[in-house]
Amino acid sequence: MVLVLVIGDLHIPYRIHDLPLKFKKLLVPGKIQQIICTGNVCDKETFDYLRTVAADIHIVKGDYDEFPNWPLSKIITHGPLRIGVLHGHQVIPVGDVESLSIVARQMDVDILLTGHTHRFEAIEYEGKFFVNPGSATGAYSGFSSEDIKPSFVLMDIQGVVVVTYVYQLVDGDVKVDKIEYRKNYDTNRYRLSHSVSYTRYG
Amino acid sequence: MDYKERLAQFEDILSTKNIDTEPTIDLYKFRHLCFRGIPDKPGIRQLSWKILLGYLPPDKRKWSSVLEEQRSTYYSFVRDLLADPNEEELKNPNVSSDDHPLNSSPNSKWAEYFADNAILEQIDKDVRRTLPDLAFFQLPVPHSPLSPLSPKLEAINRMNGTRSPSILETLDINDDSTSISNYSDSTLTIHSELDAEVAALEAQLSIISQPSLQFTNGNLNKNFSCMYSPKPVPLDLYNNRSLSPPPQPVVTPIPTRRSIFKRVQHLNKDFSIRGNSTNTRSCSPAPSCKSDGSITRDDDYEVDLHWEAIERILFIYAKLNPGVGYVQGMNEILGPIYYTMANDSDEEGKAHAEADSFFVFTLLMSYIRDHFVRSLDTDEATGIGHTMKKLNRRLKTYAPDLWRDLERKSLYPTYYSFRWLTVMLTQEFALPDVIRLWDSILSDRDDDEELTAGFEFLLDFCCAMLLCVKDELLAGSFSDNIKLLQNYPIQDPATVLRKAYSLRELRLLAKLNDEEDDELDEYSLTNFKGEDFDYSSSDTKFYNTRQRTNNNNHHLLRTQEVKVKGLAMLRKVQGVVSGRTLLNNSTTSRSSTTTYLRPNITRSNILSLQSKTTNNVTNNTLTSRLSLPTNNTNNKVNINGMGGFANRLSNVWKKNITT
Repeated sequence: MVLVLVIGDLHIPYRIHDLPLKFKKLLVPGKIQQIICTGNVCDKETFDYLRTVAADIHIVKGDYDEFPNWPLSKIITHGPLRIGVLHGHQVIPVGDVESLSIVARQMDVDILLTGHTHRFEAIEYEGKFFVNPGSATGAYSGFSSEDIKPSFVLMDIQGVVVVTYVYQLVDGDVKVDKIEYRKNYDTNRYRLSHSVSYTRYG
Repeated sequence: MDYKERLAQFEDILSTKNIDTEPTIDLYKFRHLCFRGIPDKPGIRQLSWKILLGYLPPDKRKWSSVLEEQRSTYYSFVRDLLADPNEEELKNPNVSSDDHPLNSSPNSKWAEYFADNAILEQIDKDVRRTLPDLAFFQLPVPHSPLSPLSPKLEAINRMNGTRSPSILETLDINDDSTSISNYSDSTLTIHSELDAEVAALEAQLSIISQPSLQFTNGNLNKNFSCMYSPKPVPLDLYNNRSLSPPPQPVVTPIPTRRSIFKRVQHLNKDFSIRGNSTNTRSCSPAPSCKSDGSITRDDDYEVDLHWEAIERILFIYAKLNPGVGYVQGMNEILGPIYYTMANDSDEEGKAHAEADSFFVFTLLMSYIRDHFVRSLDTDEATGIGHTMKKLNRRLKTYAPDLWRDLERKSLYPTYYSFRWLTVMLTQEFALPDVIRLWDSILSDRDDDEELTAGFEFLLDFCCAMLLCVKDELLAGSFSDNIKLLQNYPIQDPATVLRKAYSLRELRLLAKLNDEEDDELDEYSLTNFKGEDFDYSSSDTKFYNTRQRTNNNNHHLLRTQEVKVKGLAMLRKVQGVVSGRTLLNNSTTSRSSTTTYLRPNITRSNILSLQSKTTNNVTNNTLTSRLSLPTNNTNNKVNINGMGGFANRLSNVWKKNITT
């Protein structure tokens, strides 16, 4: 049972100076085993702060990040699940689920984590799960005209089941939502191999 | 009494055959019997410890119902307390709860989960290292259909026959690990028959696999070799079963039993047998919800190792007793208990060893719990500090010169006795010796004293330990002494035990004199002349020195007093022993004297008791027992046992008072 924090688009210190206080109170070290960051933290200090929350951190480069040596995309495996991460500025049109689906097929991942839109999204499309944690700070984004709600995502991975908790700051209060995703095995393939074994044993 | 006689007595007391005639065990008698050691015949010690600590009531008729009730309580603990919060959510996806992993409010399941994890990690670290020299704890728990903590058995429809697996079959494994376990379990169950034909077939076959080896996906060689290791399975259970239907588990397995091990997996990723297995099992589906809502997972089929059972027990204890939680050292105490229970010859006892150990452990802990509470360390009345002070005072009483020497060297009891007392000597001697010592320690409990009185014999034994190495201690320096005491040189406890017995009798004698040796005033001892005393010799010397240690002012008065009292006691003792009078609580000055003088237990007495069928065993014990022609104080020389004690007591007083 692995707790993975998915967070991104903090844009500290350029667009906003800090995480919301209530989020900081939630993110205590010790509870979270892994962090996957979709990019645009922008700052070394912010990156260090994320490292204090959990030791195991995977990060990809966003278009405003200061570290040149971070990869553009990453694949992380948790048991039978393959999780892909990229910032999302590479995908055009931005945030379009079908284009993201192309990327997911290319990377051959079950779950794709992206950012860039600063808007929380969790879509299950064609058997794959697309999660956008939004912006944890509520930083300004050029794509949306309305106010950005700060949000991040915590995934509880148990084998093939992922329970996603979404933490959003709505009117100064933290709101938590829960979404479940289950990976479907290719049932045809599974059944066939099973019948083979039966015939052998008579 | 020699071994065979004692064995016979034990078997008689513990047997359930004469349950109608003698349903209740006389605890006092039983304790006295256990004090000299419980025979090593399988089955006896387990029952004895359960009775001694109060897990089983003295009334034998209630045993089966008590056992059943307690065991089911334990299994419900396992089911409820070990559940992960995320699995609960999996089970009820429609029930919305406000709980989330980062919730820090106290009633959140997640917050509790993380708090428990801290305890669990500590327990895990300690338990893995419990008694590392003994292979027992690293071995798997034998499979049993009676226990809900055993791995699941799938319905076996393949191995009806008795053929050896071809290599192809063993290699032809799906990624699904369940198939391998099915295979092994099937071989286990089918071949555990007692039929002659099967026995013959068994000879042909070489696939009597050890039932509870774990099977991993990638580790083929291991699978193969273990299938060919012949190991007999306990056969008693399967007596009446026919060949074809395999024995289904009598109780439904508890799915959450292994959940705590997953939690601390991250601690031991690179090494240990568990670490390897989880990495190779990468493709199989972990908890998945079936349509009927039950959750299955890989490790339903995995077997527990003994130390994992201990970890479970300790975790549940810590959760149920948040006041004391888990403290390092509890695992050492649980070790011998669990070892004894798990090596029961009784099939049922063995299957439920974990549950029984849990309760026996809890009962034992209720006496020594104060030793583990940190805040009571400096407490006046209880806690480990108090116990160590008590030990020190006792040492002062028995061996003042040694005591003074240790004080001079500033060798306080905290340096050596802390470990002796908190883990009850498990770290000082080898496990078989510890178990024998515990027989005596657990049985030395006075009914009259309160629950928190602790184990007096343990303190006597610690004093004896010190006294046995007295010469070395006196001769050595502070550092030598520390080294000596922390690696106690005498590995055979028999000599120390004998000294401890004599110390104990001295103490009981002093108690009869109405003097609490533990609470001697400081100033009363300053008058002490500084004699060495030799407690192996007569009690008279002790008595004389005791007189001298009394307060100066009341010195004479007290001796007079004691003489008078002593005479009265002597008369009484004589009377009791020769069957003339009856001891009542009201006529004696201390109620505890009745316990010491009550039953005159000799072999003849016990055997004659058993031939009787009287039922009033409460107040009329003395008259019924002493209607035999018993010893005259002068003639009988029975040194051992309470009868001997009464004799010696009366002898002592006669010598001292009537002169």
